[in-house]
Amino acid sequence: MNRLAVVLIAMLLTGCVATIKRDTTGETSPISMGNWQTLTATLRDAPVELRHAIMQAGEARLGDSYHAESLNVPNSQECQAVLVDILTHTRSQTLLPDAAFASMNKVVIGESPQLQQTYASALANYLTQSDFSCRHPLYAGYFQRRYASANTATPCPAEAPFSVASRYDGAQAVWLEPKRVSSIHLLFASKSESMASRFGHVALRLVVCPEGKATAAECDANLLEHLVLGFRAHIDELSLNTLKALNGEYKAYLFANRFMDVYEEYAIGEFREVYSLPLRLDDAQRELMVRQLADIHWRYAGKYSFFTQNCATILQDALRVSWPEFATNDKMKSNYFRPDSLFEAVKSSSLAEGDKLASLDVAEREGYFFSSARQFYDRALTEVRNAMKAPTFSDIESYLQIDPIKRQQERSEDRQFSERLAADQHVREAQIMLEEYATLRSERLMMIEGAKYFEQQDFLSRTESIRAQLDAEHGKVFEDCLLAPIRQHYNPIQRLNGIPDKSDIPAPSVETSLCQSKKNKQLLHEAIAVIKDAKSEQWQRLNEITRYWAESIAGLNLLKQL
Amino acid sequence: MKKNFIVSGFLLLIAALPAFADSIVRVQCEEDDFGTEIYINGKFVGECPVDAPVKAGTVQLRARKIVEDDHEKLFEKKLRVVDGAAQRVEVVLTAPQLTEEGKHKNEVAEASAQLRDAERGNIAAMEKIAEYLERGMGVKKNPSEAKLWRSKAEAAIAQEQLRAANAGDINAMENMAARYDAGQGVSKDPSQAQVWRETAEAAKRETRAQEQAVKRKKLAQEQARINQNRIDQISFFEGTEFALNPKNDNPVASTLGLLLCPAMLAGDLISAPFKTTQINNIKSEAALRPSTWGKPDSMIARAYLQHKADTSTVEGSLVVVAAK
Repeated sequence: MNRLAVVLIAMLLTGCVATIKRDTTGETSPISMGNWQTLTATLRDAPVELRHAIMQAGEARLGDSYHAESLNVPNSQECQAVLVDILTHTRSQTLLPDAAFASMNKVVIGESPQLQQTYASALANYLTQSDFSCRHPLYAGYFQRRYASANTATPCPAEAPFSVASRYDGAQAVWLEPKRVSSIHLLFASKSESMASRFGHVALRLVVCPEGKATAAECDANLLEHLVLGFRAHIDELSLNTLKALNGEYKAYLFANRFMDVYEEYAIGEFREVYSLPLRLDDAQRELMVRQLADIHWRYAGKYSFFTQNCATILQDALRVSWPEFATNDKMKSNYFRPDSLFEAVKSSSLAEGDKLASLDVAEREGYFFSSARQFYDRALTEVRNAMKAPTFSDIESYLQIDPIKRQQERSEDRQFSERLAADQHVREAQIMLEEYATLRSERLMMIEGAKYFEQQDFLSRTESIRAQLDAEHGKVFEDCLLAPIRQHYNPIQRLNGIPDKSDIPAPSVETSLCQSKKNKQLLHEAIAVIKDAKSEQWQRLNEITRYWAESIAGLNLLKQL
Repeated sequence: MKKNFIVSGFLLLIAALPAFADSIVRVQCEEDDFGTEIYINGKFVGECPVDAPVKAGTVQLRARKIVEDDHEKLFEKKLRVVDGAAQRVEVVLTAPQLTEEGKHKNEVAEASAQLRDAERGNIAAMEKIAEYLERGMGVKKNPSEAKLWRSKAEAAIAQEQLRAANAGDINAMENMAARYDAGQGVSKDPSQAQVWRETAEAAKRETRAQEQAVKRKKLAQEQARINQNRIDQISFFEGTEFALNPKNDNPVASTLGLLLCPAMLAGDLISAPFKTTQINNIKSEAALRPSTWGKPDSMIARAYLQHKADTSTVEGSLVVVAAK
């Protein structure tokens, strides 16, 4: 061992391979000499092969650019930087990323043109950060396997966060205890007419138990807390650009949504069937997978291409790196580019409890199948039609075409039907269902027309002239509650470095919560009224559908009062 | 010359008065009324024209001329006769009027007619004949017979009221209740009175309901007119018809909710701002209802029940009745 190697080892001993304490700001702090014994013990546990490889690489690198005299006892950040530098420039196969890392890295962060740089940084962090395996379970697992190192990390926090997006609450951090996940399902939504869903959509469903002690049945029925994690394109504009979708120009992320939002979107919004296939995972695998998915959720930003890099292919890659049985399963050796193919393959494999879907009737009872709501609406419509004297609609489509005011009028004029609505809860529920559907449907359309209007108005480039039209109070609300979210929509989703802890996740901005106040809603409403382009055709259309929506809600409220 | 002759003649007449008479009253009439009977203090003194010797003092002169059957013309006057002086009275008869005999004859005929009608069941005639019997008009006064006719009239009125009450007349029902209470026209019967009171109350409620229904109908018609105006103004479906159809979905729709401010909808910006909680509730209920209604043993329905148990105190929580 030459002099440089000795210096390198001294450097490692004094800080690099040590327990790094993280202060509340997230910055690393130097290792004190008082922890010397601890550091020595840590080094002693480090894999010999890895330690040797680093020493050799360091020796070569130090020969190039460092002088022993300059290496005083460095602080941990400097130490980490030196390690990254060494690992970035090494040619040692032991310290270079292999194909397995490349595959895994693709799953964790998406595209990575500087693979060695990424590897170096990850390995340096693995060696220097005691909470690395909690923040980066996939990298940590890989390094443990590759260098045969023992998992000596400190216990991870009980909860892992997910940023769960919903239409009315925005994105909110949901802290999930992996132990509360009783099973993980492969979720499949059947195909729809749109190009984006021509072959369906696959995702993972976390069956989250209620807090406290709960039975399996209670966990299954706790649908309101179940989460769905799925790779989807972030369409950062207001309409789908097919060419961009085919060329992989949209970013893909692992989105988290409430199961009920997903159910509403697919089974009600798009009349699609939803299948939920339990995966055969033991408790440890399940808990680890939840953390691994959280890691991907916060870090992954890949390309999305509808036919080659889609929800099925990315999910398949993710499952390969996070679930050894999946990676080695015969049926999973093929690459499935279609969600329906992947789902069928998993269903017929030993990886999942395919028999749960043998009978859809039973499956619907047990929570493995969720039928399209179309059949229920059709039945409700028949029920209502039969109860009415002279219905003016024949199906759900023609029902929606009737003006909501007219619908309410027809109900109130049909005395016999009104009496039936008041007396027969079954018929009343059927009627309410139809009005609720009209509300959901018009809200969906309202979103589209609203987005088109805001796009046409191009508020972002007219900020100054708009501010000139508004007073300070209205201007601020306009900026915080409308322009800021629009800007956010056009920007890529912010990525974090691994699973964040509570200090890493920004609290919901004051502005966002303020926007929900009645006063600010009113102010924004007034601001829009001041700057509206009332003559534009798009404004008229937005108004029309908004009124349709509001009238549907009014009709719904009347029905609920019966 | 002629006048002087008459005056001197009148003076000669006074001079020739019998010793018991103090004065004389010359009663004169129009030529057509010659023959009119003249009475002084009720005593016939001759036919007009006539000179009647009277004692001084106040006398009552009455002239009466029968013009046709049961009719007469009359003249009456009170005179102050001075002792030894002559007084002249010009009789001016009234228009022909019924004589007392005529009046009585009429009353008898009227009573007879009313009796006939009363016997045929005419209630007004019954009351009339009762009155005649009480007063002795056209018939012999007979209070007990009058009472009989009064009670017959009450019974007949009660029968009429009963028919009206049975036909739905609320006033008649109340009237019948009062009659059964008082035994007026019917036998006293408190239970029947109660029945009619309740029937009247029910009928009043029904009437009010009908009135309200009419009012509602009018309001509905007015509302319909207003609605039609609004519909004409709004014209929802220019361009939105296609997109409303669930078969023509926009794949980006689901992500657009996040474009705008969280917790705010395009509707909030255009229409009066909605309460986020209200919209959230509508959405939650809308998502749970179809399966809960259509397939009550589904997991969605069970999830709803669990959710309901957790939020049973939450106002406005979902109530879904499963499919039959």
